[in-house]
Amino acid sequence: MDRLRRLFKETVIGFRSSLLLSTLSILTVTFTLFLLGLFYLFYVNVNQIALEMDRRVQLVIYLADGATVEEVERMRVGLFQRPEVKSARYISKQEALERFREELGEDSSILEGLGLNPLPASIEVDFKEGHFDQGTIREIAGSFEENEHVESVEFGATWLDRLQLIKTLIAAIGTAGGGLLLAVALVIIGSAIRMSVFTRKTELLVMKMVGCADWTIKGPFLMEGLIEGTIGGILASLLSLAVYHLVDSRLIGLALVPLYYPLALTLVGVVLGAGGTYLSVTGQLRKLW
Amino acid sequence: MIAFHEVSKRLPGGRFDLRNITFEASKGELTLITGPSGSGKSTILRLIMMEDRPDRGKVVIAGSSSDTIRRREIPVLRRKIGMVFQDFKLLQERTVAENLSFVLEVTGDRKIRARSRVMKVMTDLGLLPMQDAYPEELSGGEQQKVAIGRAIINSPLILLADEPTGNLDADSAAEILRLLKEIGMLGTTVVLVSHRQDLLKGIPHQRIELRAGGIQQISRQSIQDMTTHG
Repeated sequence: MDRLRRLFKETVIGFRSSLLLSTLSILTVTFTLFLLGLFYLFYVNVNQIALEMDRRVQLVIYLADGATVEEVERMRVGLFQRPEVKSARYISKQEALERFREELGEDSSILEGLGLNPLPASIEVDFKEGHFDQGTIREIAGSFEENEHVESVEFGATWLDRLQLIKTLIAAIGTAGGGLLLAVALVIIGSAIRMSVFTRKTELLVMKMVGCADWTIKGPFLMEGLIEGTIGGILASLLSLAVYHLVDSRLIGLALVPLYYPLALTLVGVVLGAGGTYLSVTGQLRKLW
Repeated sequence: MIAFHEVSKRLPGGRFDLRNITFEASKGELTLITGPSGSGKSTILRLIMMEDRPDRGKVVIAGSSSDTIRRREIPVLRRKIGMVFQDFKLLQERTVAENLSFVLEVTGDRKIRARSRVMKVMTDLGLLPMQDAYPEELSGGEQQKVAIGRAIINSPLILLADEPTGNLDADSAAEILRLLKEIGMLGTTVVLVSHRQDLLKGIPHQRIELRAGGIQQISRQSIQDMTTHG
């Protein structure tokens, strides 16, 4: 009990002795994790959009006018045999024209003057959820491109490419920027603790010389770093959630925040605080005498 | 109590700070380690405190050997050693009594025992009248007395003093040396480090003279020597 009381007392002394730097540490952790948190939430949203688009991806095989019923049926059966294909529906030329007419609505009268149906028949392929990947769809599309009964194959390749690029970019920027921010936070927390060690140098030297265990000496500093990291983590969670909800309610509807998000961000703060402190204090204690 | 067996220690740059040092200091013995700056005096203190380990040879302190002691055992060993510095290293924001009790507080001594121990040491060293004073209100000699009090409050087997009179006037220095001699007579092994060879003039002691990391001479001055030489 005495030890615990002492630990808290020393932690408070530590905070007081480097109040400015402790505050700076908390603000740095808050700012770093706030940015990281926003990045993460942005990534979650882009991922969500990507998933949604993946779900909507449809492969359309436009058939040549001369394609026979047997040929079309062979293609459909071939597609059905693939595990990732959910449905492969044949759309006749007539059905395509009806759809087009519906889409045109009031303007459908322009079709009246056409003597023949210009729209091709097609096979619309939908994919099973969770089975979609771009490699597979490109491979399927590729296998039909050379087919003499096929006019063209479409699946929104440009969009899929762009989305993939955005995802990769966000992940790369998030990793590099996040890593840099974490390193800066680690250095600032380390500096705050170094200053704290410096202002209490004599006391720590005496403790070391009279035979205090390493953990008794390091304990208050670790506690200080831990508290700074935790406060920073909590503030960052609250701030980023507030910004997120503001954007969500005023601007655009966003994906739901994962339940673990605030806890994970606080945990990163705890690790950051304790880790930065441990590295700094261990190095400083060696230099005391 | 203290034994150095062919100890060598290199500096981080690779140069030898101590080379093949062998000496012993027994229980209650007063030892003066002397030599110019850079001769390795402070390194010997660091080795005794097990702050550093020798590169060659071994150091045995109160039964603990440098080649077998584990890191977590070093604090336990240090509780058997008291340390006095040239610049006292007192805690400025604590009173004399608090400076003494601090040691017992951080090493987990019970409060009642700690209080009586602080009172005893303050009485023995004549610190009672200044128990509520802060270090800055004391003279150099008085501050060093407090530092000695702090070093012996745990009844150590060994007392190390790094240039203990370096910042003191002649009278205060004599008073401090008298105190250290008395502590030695009570059974504590006292090791003093100083650049002054005549620091313990008139006091029986072992003198180890260092030069460029090696021992130049070990000599002993007994009471008979002193009476013979007048």
